[in-house]
Formats: sequence, structure tokens, C-alpha cells
Amino acid sequence: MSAAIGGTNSDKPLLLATPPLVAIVCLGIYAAAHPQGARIGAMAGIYALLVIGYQFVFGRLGALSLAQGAFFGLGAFVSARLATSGLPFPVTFPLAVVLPALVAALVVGPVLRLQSYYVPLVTLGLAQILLIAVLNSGGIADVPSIQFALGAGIPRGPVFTLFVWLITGAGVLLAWSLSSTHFGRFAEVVRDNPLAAGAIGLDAGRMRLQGFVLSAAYGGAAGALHAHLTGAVTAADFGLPVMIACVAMATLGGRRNVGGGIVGTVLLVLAVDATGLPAAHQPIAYGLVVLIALRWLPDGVIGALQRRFAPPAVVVSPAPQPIPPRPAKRIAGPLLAARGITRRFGGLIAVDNISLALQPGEILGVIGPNGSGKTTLLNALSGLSPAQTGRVFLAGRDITSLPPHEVARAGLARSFQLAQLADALSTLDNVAAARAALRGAGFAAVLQRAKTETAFATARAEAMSCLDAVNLVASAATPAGSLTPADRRRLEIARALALNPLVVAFDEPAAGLDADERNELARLLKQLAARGLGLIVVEHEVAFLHGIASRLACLDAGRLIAVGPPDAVLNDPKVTAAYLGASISSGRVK
Amino acid sequence: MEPLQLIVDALALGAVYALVALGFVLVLNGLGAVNLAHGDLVTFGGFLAVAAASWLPAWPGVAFLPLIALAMAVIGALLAGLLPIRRRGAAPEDVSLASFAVGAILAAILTVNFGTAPVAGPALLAAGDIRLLGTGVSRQSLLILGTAIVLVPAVHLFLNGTQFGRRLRAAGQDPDLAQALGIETGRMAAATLALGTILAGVAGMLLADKFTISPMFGLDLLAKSYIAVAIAGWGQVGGAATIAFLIAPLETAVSTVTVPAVADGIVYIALLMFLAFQPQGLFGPAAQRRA
Repeated sequence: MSAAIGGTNSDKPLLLATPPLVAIVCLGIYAAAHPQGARIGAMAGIYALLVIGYQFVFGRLGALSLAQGAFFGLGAFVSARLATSGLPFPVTFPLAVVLPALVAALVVGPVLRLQSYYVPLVTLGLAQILLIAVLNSGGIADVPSIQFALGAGIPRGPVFTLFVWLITGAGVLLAWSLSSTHFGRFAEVVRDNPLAAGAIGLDAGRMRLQGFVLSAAYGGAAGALHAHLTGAVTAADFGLPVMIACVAMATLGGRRNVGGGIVGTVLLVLAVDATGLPAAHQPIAYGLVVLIALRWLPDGVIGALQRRFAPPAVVVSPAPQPIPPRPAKRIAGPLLAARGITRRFGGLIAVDNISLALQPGEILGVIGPNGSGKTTLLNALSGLSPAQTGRVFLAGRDITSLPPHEVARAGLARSFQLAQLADALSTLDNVAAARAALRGAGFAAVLQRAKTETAFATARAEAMSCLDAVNLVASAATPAGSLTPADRRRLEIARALALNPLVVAFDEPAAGLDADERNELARLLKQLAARGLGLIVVEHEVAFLHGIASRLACLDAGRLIAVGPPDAVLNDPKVTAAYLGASISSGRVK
Repeated sequence: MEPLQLIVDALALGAVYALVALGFVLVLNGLGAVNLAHGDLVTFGGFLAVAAASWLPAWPGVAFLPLIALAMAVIGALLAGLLPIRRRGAAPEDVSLASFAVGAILAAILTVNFGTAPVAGPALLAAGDIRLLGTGVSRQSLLILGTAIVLVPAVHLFLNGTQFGRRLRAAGQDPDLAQALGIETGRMAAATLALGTILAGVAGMLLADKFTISPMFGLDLLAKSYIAVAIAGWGQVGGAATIAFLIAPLETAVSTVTVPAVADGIVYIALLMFLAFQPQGLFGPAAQRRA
């Protein structure tokens, strides 16, 4: 199965809208026949809003946040405090939305740039702190229903329920339009492979922050409505019960699909009410739902329905369209220059005071025994583990301490020893995402949906020309995860080309290729150099490099021991010694 | 309270936290995923002791220790079947998600059966004080300390000194390579979970013995272990136990001056500072991820 970027079958909106609409109709019928119907309907709307917000971070970005319940409680607390002191809804509600978003941005946001396994920790810590704060301050009782100015208001009842669904509807529309804009499309790459996201110039940390702030705003809105509906705020609104309900609804309905959020919420709200399960028992049921859905419905109810009734549209390969050239810029000096760069890991000096220069059209081969620092050198150049001393210049611009995604945008693309691709996306969309990311990953794109569509059509057409350059057109629709290792290498090169780079750095591109594939690769690299690109090729296959490299550089124990024409370097006694193990020096890295 | 008594009690609490963190980090290394049910497994173990004491009131708590360890081992093995460990298409986040669900289930079961008010478990031997340096010192606190002092090196010896322990660590560090060498990584993951769950249960029993236990404590205990791991450095076994141990005296000291919640705030702020300025932790990550 090949997922298109966005993966939402946006050409079949009616088919997609059917399950949530059916769920809402069922909810309406159930509520109409129930003495407490209005309250149940409102509760479902509130939780749907909470869950749809949670999907931004949990589903789309694949981060397990445990703070959604806390944001819900914070929204409830803020609006209840202000409403009991007499402020009207038009004042309290925006504050209940903004404050959780602010907390998310200021307290949790900065940490989200770290590895994803810290997300549950930081969000759990925040949730615990907020819970303690509320426990200490006591709950709030006698919260009025929604009051507008001048005595007008909405009493609890059917109108209140419709009002809740009005707000939830607005939340659904926003989420829906976001899923087909850049945010939704790029989120797939970030979730699938953060390294690949960085390689195409996407800032995964910033996207996590955006998703997290959005989810907090939705949570705050849901909490505010909940406080007005129930008339009270207690510690239970902050704690585990809300969180596990939210997780269960999202997992059951479908983590990444707005409609799935509604389906899962309505199913569970109705099931809990119909069975009359007491509140203390509910987390048991919710927990079981999560375990069952994880095993048998990995994409939720909505995913199962889609597989059955609406398999994703086959990616239609557009006609190739050439990439517009990079605006020409006079460069004084070399294309890429490293000046005395050093990278230490604890006591190990993995890269020791290395200076290198690369001219346009040049292929610089980097050789050296295992552990001599070749990959670390590439990581230092590409921002993955920046140099601690020394400077790196790309076309005269200092890129030493830029993060990987900015280095990629600046014009230094790279490949990895193990190809880093978004495996669930098609071959074409792996490249198209790079094109689109280069054009702008701005969040404001939400207002320009039509523009995004054309931008992506263009990105796909341009991506075809990159695939054409590496002979991968035939596999355009294949998911990257099903490609052969050789084709995965080619795809990484196509993706690098899509960035319109000045320099491409390759980490062992020939490893695991057979003789024919190697010749093909050598031809391709020479072609790229002939177009004026500078190439750095880290490689063990000295014979392969000898055929293509303009110069060779040899590393040993992190130091540059020889650089120059290939024959001169290979005959250098220091190089021979390094390879034959005469220099078993200290300071090598694994 | 006498200063010496206070210090010994704080050390005992620290010993419990260290055991909790020890089990947490072992499972973390063995599964390559965070077990969010760990805190609830601790309280579950504590309530097993409470239940056992109400059935057999004449027995000393120490007699329940092997029974609880056995019960927790079974629960851990069941857990291994329940979590999508290295299941095709399942991300590490899915393991955490499933464990979060398991934790919520355990906490709710305990709440339904025991309520949320904190309760005390059976005394290991007998409650009361012994005279030490002229002041009374809680016998239970000393026993808890003693148990931890025996258990921590025992776990260390098991992991580093036995063939099985080394296989366990190998399977956690590089599952693919371990499997290629003929180690059944699935069984090793189950064994790791069983070991971590036993440690959780024992810690829970010790906690209930001297202090109190409530179904509401689960997430808090989890957060302490998790924070200890993050501050020590991802996957650092000894470091995590040490940091967790140090949280207890801080809590005790803060509680004598102001409300205990302030200690949680301090620890959380320390965590955020570490993540912002020293994300490698104090001792650096033990488990290197491949680029």
C-alpha cells in the first residue's frame, strides 16, 4: 500500500466524511431518546474537540503526550475561576484557549526538540505539577453556564449542546484544512523519520512545537466548555481519567484522522453511557480499548473502514518538470571550506583539527580505516554533530553551528550510511516533500489551501525530474520502505538533487552494490560533478573512488594525514601504514 | 522528630525510590521503550502486601516477600505478551502507549478495591524503634535500607556476572545482533519485564511497610524514576538509581520547611534545566543510537 503525502484521499471528501457524520447522527438519535440527552451530546462534542486536538501531536507527529488531560483541566480551571468572578464567556473562553497554549509553548516546547522518548516524561511532569497545584488550591464549585454580556447567555440544555458542537465543528474544519496543508504533509515525514525530515530541510522540533501548542489550545477549549457544562472543576478533570479517555478515543477512532477522532469519541461516550459504567471503572474499559485497538485496529476504526471501502488513490506520476536553477551567486574562494574543525566525544577526538576545501565540479574522496572519523566529519559538516572548534563555510556563508535542516536548505545535501527515508511514503513523495519543504514550510500556509495544492502538484512534477536523473521513475509509486537497497541509495541521491544543492556529501554510497550498480553510480556522480556540484564521497572502496575522485583525503585517528591527487595519496607511506595498521594510535573512535 | 530518625527515614525512602528507578531503567534498556505502567506496578505490589496482610494477619510482612515477588514475576511475563514489543509495524511509542493503558487499568482496579486514601502495609518484621546513638530509629527504615543494600548489588551481579544476565543485556542493547547470535530476544524481553516488575513489587511492599501507599501514587513514582533516568543519562542503571535515591532527602528536607509539593516542583525544574542545557544527562547516555 502506498500512501500519498497527506494520505487523506482528499479527492473523496464525501466518502471520508461519511463515518463521522453517521456517528453524529447516531449520537443525535441516542440523545433525543435519552432523558439526559443534551448533556451526553455536549459531553461527546467536548471530548471530540479534546481528541482532535490531541491528534495533532499524538497522531500526526507520533509523540505520546501525557499532558492533554492537564491542558483540559487548565482550560476548565481558568474559565471557571474567571466566570465565577463574573467575567463573560467572550472574555473567559479565549483566555482558556490561550493560556494552555502559552504553557505548552513556554514550558514544554523547548524540550520537544529533543529525542521523542522525552515527550511522555516532560508532559507527565507538567501534568503532575498542574494536578498538585490544583489539589492544593481546591476545586471550584458553582460555575455558571455560558454567560455573554448584558445578561444574555446559554442555559445548559439542547442549545448549549448545539453551541458546543458549533465550536467543535470549527475545530474540525481547522484540523481538516491543516491536514492537507504543508503541516499535515510534512508531519508524515517527521513522524516516519526525523533524520529524513532534517535532510530535506524540515525543522522537526518546530513542527512538534506547533502541533503541541495547537493541541493545548484545543484541550483548553474543551476544558472550558466542560466546566460550564458540569458547573464544577475538580482534581479529576486534570488527572488520569481524562487522559486515558482521550487516548482511548483517539486510538479507537484512528490516530491521524479527524473523522476518526469523532467516531472514536462518539463510540466510547455512547458505550460508557449505555452500559452505565461507574466513573471509577471507566479507566479499566478505556485501557482495554487501547490494548485491543493497538493489536487489531492499528489505524483505528476509520483506518479499517478506509482499507475496506476506499483504498488510497494510486499516486499518478506527473510529467517531469525541471527544477528551476539556484539563483546564481558569485562565490569567492572554494565552494565548501572546513577550517580546523574538531569534534570530541568525551575524551575521544573523533575529528581532530581538519581543514579541507572543495571546488565546484570537484569530487573529493575521503578514505581511512574504520573509526578514523569519516562519518563524524560528514556529521560535522552537515550539522548533525557540529564542530566544537573551527568553522565550516558553504559558498562563503558560515554554516558551522546551523542545525541539519538549515544546512540542507543552505545547499549542503547528504546521504546516510543506512538510507534515511520516510518509509511509508511513496518514492515520489519522498522527493516531492523535499521540493515542497524548500519552497516553504510556513505555518501560515493554512490560509492558502488552494495554493498548497498547486505547490504540491509542482513539487511532484519537479520530483519526477529528480527521479528521472537517477533512473527511478518506474518506482515512483512504490513505498520507499519496499525499495531494494540500491534503489534506496538512488532515492537518497534524488532527494539530495531536489534540494538544488551546491554540495552533496555521500556516506559510503557504493557499499552493498554489485559491479553494475557501482558503475552506474560512478557515472551518476561524474554527471553531477560535471554540472558544477561539489561532491564529498566517504568510501571504503578505494578502487571505486580512484575511478571518479579528483582528489583523495585520508583520515587516520581523526587526523587528516594526506590529501591530493588519488595516486599520490594512495602511494603515500603514511596512508599505507594507516591501512596496514602500523599506526595503532590512541584516540580512535568506534 | 529526632534528626537521626529523620535522616534514616529519608535514606529508607531514597532506597525505595532507587529500587523503583532500578526496575524502570532495566526495563527501559531491555525493551528500548519506556514502561509507563512501572509506577502502577509499584503500587500494585504494595497493595498485594496489604491484601496478604489482611488475609494472614498473624504472619510477618517478610514472609510475603517471596510470594509477592512470584506474583509480580507472573504479572511481568503477562505484560510481555500484552505489549507490542518488537511487533512488526509497532513503534517504540506503541509499547509506551500500551503500557500507559496497562498502568491506567492497574490503578483503576486498585482504586475500585481499596479506594484512594493512603494506607499502610504490613510491617516486615515488627514495627517500633531500636536505640541507636542515644535516639530511637525506626526498625522498618533500617530493614528497608538493608533490603535495598542487598538487592541492588544482587541485581548488578545477576546482570554482569551470569550468562543469563549478559544475554539479557545483549538483547536489550542490540536486538538484531543478539538474535543473529542465537539469543531469543522475545524471551529476553519477557525476562527483563519480569525482573523489572519484581523490583517494582518489592519496592511497593517496602513503601507500604514504612510509609503509605495509594493507587494515586503510581504516576508520581513513575515520574520520579523517569526524571532520574533523564538526569542521570539515558539508560544509565547505577546513575538512575543514585539520582532517585537523592530525590528522597530533598523531599524530606523541603517538607520540613514547606509543603511536599514544592519538592516536586524543584525536581521538575531541575529536569527541565538538564534537558535544556545538558540533555546528555550527568553521566551521558549509556545506549548510543545509531545515526
